[in-house]
Amino acid sequence: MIYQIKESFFADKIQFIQIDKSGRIKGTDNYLFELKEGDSIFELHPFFESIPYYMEDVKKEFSIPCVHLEIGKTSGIFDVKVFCEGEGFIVAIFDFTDHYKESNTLSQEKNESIIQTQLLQEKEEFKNRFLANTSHELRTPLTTIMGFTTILQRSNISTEQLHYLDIIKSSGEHLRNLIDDILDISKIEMGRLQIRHDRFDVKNLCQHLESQYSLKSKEKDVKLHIKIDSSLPQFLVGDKLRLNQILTNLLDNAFKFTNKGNIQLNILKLERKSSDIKVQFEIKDTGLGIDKDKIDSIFESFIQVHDNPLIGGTGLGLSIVKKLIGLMGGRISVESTRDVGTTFVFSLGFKVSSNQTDDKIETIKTNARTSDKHNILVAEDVEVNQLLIMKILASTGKYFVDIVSDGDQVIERLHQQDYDLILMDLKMPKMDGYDTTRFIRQSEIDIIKNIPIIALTANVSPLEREVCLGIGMNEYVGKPYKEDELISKMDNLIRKNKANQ
Amino acid sequence: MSNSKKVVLLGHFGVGKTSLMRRFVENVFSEDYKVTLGVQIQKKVIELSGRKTLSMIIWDIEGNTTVKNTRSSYLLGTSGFIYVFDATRIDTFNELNEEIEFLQSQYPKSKIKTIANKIDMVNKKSLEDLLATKQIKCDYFTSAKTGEMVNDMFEALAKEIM
Repeated sequence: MIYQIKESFFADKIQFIQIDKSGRIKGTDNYLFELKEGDSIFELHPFFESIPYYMEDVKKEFSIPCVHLEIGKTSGIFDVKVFCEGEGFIVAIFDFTDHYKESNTLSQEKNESIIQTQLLQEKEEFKNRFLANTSHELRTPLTTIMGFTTILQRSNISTEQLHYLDIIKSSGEHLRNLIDDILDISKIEMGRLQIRHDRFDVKNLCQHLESQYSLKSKEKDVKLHIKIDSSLPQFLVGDKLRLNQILTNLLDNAFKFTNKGNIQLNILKLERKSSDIKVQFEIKDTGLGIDKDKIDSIFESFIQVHDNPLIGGTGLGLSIVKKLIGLMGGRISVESTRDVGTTFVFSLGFKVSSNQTDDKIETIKTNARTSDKHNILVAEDVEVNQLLIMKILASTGKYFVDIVSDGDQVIERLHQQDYDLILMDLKMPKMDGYDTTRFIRQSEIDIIKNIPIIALTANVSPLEREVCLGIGMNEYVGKPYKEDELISKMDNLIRKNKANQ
Repeated sequence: MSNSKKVVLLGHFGVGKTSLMRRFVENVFSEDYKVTLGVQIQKKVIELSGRKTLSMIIWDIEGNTTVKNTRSSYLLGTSGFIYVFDATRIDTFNELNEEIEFLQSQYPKSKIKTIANKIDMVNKKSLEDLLATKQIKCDYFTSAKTGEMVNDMFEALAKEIM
């Protein structure tokens, strides 16, 4: 009984066809397709024409699943099994149309989603490459503009000319910030920005901020007060660079919109569980404030809620701040009253460093003068950049400078003369900055092997920085660089190296 | 029978295998992407020089990210493989050299052509540069949409497997 039910259940789903080697039908049960004995099966569908090809590779039987067949008025998706039988074949066709149609919908959705993702990735890759290349191409001439502007400012020029140069310089700085911001926002959106977890000194970070804004504070007569919760551990583990970027963006913003009164940065310990600590940062100003109807849009890219053309900005700063805080697992909120002021509050989680002792790293004053002149080797292939760096270094009166234009010449010079430091461009003909550094670090001569190297590059990114430091460079300065920052880093490295000798 | 050969279209899904077959056999093209499940087979008789003809049995098999995952029963008895990749999606040709090496090792008697499809959507020179950096050899740059090089590619393969 069961056998009969089973047979009737499967009967209309399977067809058996007997054919000879030339494809002539010798017998068929016609459960699925209406076929005639004597007809050639090869003429009915090209699939069957492929059957003899298998004979070279298989001897007895083979199966081909999921074959689309259309014969006469019948079409569907079938599994086919072929048995070699004497001078011909038995072809068994199983109808799985319903089953395959169900999985077809799922495959369609899955494939479409994967294709869309891949196309999106391609577009992001293209955007990333384009931005990186554009950034590099923009930074190189900008370095020259900014550098020579600084040099011109020191020459004998009229007050009016000096004013024009100030305008050129501030426009250059604006352009540099814009390039940095666009690159940052692009990296964040592509998920390429990695949050680091390094030990850092909160007190030191705040001291740097105080010093960074001291001039602006004096110029605008707006006081900056930084208050750190006394119960907050001094050394935390987190991304100092990005925290500094967030605070700098918010403080820049506060100074931009505050013309009288003061700006406060309050850092407060919220809660601590074992080594996990939550810290709240509050930036409060007495500035222009933001209208209520505009407050929701301040974190959007390229949005500037003020309509004062004298107040610059890229419209990206707050967007970057919000995205960075989000990446670091925090949230930012803002309260503002027109003509009273604005308060930004955000909290971030950190780890408390197990080492709370000060490393007592000798801090060296930026403008420290030394009686001895230092020998500097500059590796830079672009003539105008050579001239610029020469002028900058010469203006300090602290260095003897030699300039070469590729890595081979660097190695040659190092074997001819002792240098205190190398300023290394990364893109150079013959041997580039990376290979030259690797070569130097493998030297058997200690004075060459240990020479401090600063990378000077227009490829500005945390990744590039890591690559440079990873191959043995001691510092990394992005173009266009600030003169003071460059000199300070050079002097620090030279001092440290001499102390270690 | 002596003048018919089996040709298989291979490659990732969505690269345009079905569109290439339909352009060649039916001279039609549709922008809609419809997933191929299993295998669809079409035939075209190609006239070659010297009054010779070849009946090309074209197997358009479902896309797969690697040939190794393709059902071997689809590939047996094949005279020519056409490995198709999508010129707009790098993921579809990142591992191309390994794929071709695998095919050559498994089916040493078969001819293989590598095809960059959807060439109408990219800058050919940029693609050539990218392929050169990846040391990828591409036999034909085709567009099932415009028909560019489609017939040439199939006919060249037909001559080789004849």
